[in-house]
Amino acid sequence: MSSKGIIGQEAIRAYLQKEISSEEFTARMQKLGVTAGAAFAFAEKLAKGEWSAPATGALNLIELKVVEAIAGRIIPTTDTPGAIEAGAANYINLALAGAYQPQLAFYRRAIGELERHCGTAFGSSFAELDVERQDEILESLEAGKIGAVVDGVKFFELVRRHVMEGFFGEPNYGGNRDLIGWKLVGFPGQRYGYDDPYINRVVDLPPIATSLPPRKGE
Amino acid sequence: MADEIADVCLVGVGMVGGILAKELATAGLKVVGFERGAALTREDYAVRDSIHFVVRNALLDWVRHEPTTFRNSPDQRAVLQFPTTNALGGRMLTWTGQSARFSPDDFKVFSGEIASGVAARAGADLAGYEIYDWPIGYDDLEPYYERYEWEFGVAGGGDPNPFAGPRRRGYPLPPLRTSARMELFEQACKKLGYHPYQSAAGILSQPYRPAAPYDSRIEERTACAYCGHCNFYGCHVGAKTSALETVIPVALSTGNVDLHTNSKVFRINSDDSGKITGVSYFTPQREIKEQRARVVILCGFVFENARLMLLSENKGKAGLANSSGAVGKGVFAHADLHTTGLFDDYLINGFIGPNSAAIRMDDFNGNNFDHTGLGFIRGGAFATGGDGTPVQRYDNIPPGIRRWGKEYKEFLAHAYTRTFSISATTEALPHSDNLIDIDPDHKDDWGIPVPRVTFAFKQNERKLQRHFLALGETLMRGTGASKVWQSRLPNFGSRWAGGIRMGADPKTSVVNGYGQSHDIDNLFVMGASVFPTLTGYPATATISALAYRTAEYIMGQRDWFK
Repeated sequence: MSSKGIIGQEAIRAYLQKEISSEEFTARMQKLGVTAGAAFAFAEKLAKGEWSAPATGALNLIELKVVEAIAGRIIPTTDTPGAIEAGAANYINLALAGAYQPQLAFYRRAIGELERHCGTAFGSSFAELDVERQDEILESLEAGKIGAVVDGVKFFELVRRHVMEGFFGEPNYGGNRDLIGWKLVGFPGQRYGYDDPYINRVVDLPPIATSLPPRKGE
Repeated sequence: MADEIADVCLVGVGMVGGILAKELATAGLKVVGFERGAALTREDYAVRDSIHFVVRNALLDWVRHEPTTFRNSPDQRAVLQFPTTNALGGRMLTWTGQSARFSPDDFKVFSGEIASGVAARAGADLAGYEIYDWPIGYDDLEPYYERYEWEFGVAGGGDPNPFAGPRRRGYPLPPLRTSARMELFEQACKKLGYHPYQSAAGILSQPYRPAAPYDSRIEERTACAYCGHCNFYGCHVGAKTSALETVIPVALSTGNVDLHTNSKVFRINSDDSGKITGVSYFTPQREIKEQRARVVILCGFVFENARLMLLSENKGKAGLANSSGAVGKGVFAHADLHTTGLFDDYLINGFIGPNSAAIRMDDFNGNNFDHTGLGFIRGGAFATGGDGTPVQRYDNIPPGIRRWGKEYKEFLAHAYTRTFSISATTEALPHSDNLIDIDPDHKDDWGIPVPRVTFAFKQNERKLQRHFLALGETLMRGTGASKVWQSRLPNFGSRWAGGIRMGADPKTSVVNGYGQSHDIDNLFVMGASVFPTLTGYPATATISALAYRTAEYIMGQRDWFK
C-alpha cells in the first residue's frame, strides 16, 4: 500500500516521527477538515496500532490476474487510465483479506470455475485472452449463460461492485490510486467544504483524500 | 441507581430519548437511559471516508448484531435486512437533515378525506386499510415544533410554502445556500404553475446557539461548510443537527441522568396488577440486570418498540398494553421515487452539499390537490436531491447504457457533474396486512428473537406511485434535461412509521395523544411508532414535537413521582 497522496496520513506520520511540530500538524489537518482534537485522537490511535494498514492480499497470483483482467473490462483503459491503473484488483485483494474475508471462498470457487471454463473452451486463462473475447465471456457471465460457473450472475455482480469500490473508494484501501477514479468524473474529494456553489462552473480544485488507514479488520 | 427506583426509564437514547432526558432531568426527575449502541464522539466520524461509512455502513451496521427481517407477504420466508444507526443520538447522526412540519390536513385523513367524500370522489379503493384520525392536531403541536426548531437549529423560511400550517415564529436561521439543482427545479416548478419553496433543514446556515426562552445551555455550533457528506456520515463540523451535540450533553449536565450505553433492554416488567415496574437489560458484558422505574418510555426505532411490547408479558399474557390487538399492526413507510436528469451543457456539481438544502414542492402532497377520478387519496412531496460521493452514484445510469465497459466509463466521466434527481416522497396508508411480529426463525446476538416486518405497497399506493412517476417525468423535462430516467417502483419502504398507533379510541389504538398506553398508565411509547397516518413530509420535526409535548405532560404528573 502506498501512503503517497494521502495527505492526512502523511501529516500524522510526520507528526508521530517528530518531523513537524504539533502546531504545524494541527494546521495541516485543519486544512483537510479535521479538527485539532480529532487530529490528535487519530495520531494516538495510529501510534497505538488501533488502525493498521491492510495485511497482504488474500488471492494467489493467478486469481489476482483474473480479477485484474475483469476490472480492466469493467472500467477499461482508454485515453484515460482505468480500473487496472487505479489498482481496483489490489483493493479487492486486500478487502478479501479483511472486511470481505467471508466472500473469499466464493471468489476462489467462482474464479476456479471461470478458469476451467476458459481452459476448456479457449485453452487459455481468462487473463490471457484478448479483450474482445473477455468481453464476450463477461457478457455471458452477466446474463447467466456460463453453466460452468455456478452462481455466475452473482459473481459478476459482486466483482463489478467491488471493482467500482476500488475505482471510486479512498486510496488508503488500496484502490483509486493517484485518485484516478475521482479525476475521471471530476470529484474534488473530501474537501472541508466549498465557498462557492459552483453553479454551472467547473470546480477547478484538485481532488484530495483525507482518509486514514482502514480500521483494523477492514 | 440500579437498586433504586428511577422516576423515568428511557429505552433508547436518540433524538426522542435525548429530548425527554433533558426536559425531565431538568425538572428534577431521576432518569435512567438505556442505549444499545455506543457513545461516539465527533472524532469517530470526522474523516469523511466513503468506503468506511457508505460502502461498509460503519454507523449503520447494527444489522450484523440485531437484524430485522422482511417479507412482502406471509407466503415468503423473511430475509435479513435493514441497517440502522444504533448509537447514542440515534439516526440523527447520519440523517440528511430534512426538517418540515406536517400540515394541518395530515392529522385528519379519516375525517378530512374519507368521511368528507374526497375518497369517494377520487374513486379510491380503500379495502383493507385501517385509517384513523390523530387524537391531536397541528395546533396542539405548533408550540413544540417551535421548541424543536429553535433548540436544535433549523434553517428555513425563504419563499414560504403556501400549504404549510400557521406558525407563531419563523425559523431561527436563514435558509441554506442555493445550488444549481435548486435553481433548475425552482424554475421548472414555476413554469408549470406550481409553488416551489426552499426546504427547511436541520443544518446550521450560520453559527448558532439557542437563546431564552429556549434552552441556552445548548452550546454553540458552527455553520455548514457544504462538503456534501451528509447521508450515512456524521458531520465533521457539527453543523448537522444531532441530539448528540445538542440535547444529550445538556441532559447529562443536570446530574439527574444515569446513562447506560452498549446496554440493551430486552423486556418490560410489570406486577400482578399489570402496572409497569421497570425493565430487564443486558449490560455491556452481557449480564442480565433489572432496573426499576415509576414510568417507562419506549424511545426506540419503530420495529424495536413493537418488538419489545410483543416480547414482554403482562398479567400472564404475551404482549404488553395490547387489549386493542393493534400492537405491531398498520406499519407503513414512504416510497421514494427518483427521477434523474442529465444536462449536457450545464454543470450541476451535485457533490456539493447538503442534500437537504433543497427546493420542495407540496402541490401534490396530502390533500393539497383535486383527487377527483384519480383512483387514490393522499400524495407525496417533490424535492431536489442527488448529492453523493462517486461510490454512491455509479449505479444511477439511464436504461440502454451497459453497466460496464468503455461506454459506461465515458458516461460516468460525462454525467457525474451533470446530473441531479427529483425525489418524490410518496405516502403509504396503514393496511391490515402490513405488520410487525416476532420472527420465529431468527435471533439476535443476545439470543432474543428479532422483529419481522411483513409489508407490501397496496392498491392505493401503487396508483399513487404511478401518478407520481408521470409527474416526476414532467417536472424533470421542465428543467430542460437532455435525458431523463426513473427508478423502478420499490417493494419496500423508506422511513418507517406506525405499529403502535395513537388514537382516541382504546379499541382501535394503543396509546393516547401523549403516547401513553390506554391500558397501562405508566407506559409511554414515542417516535414514529405512534403515527396513525403519514404524509410526504419527513417525520423528524413531528417526532421531536411529540417528545417535547409528552415531556411537559409527564412533568405535570407530580403525584406519580412522590
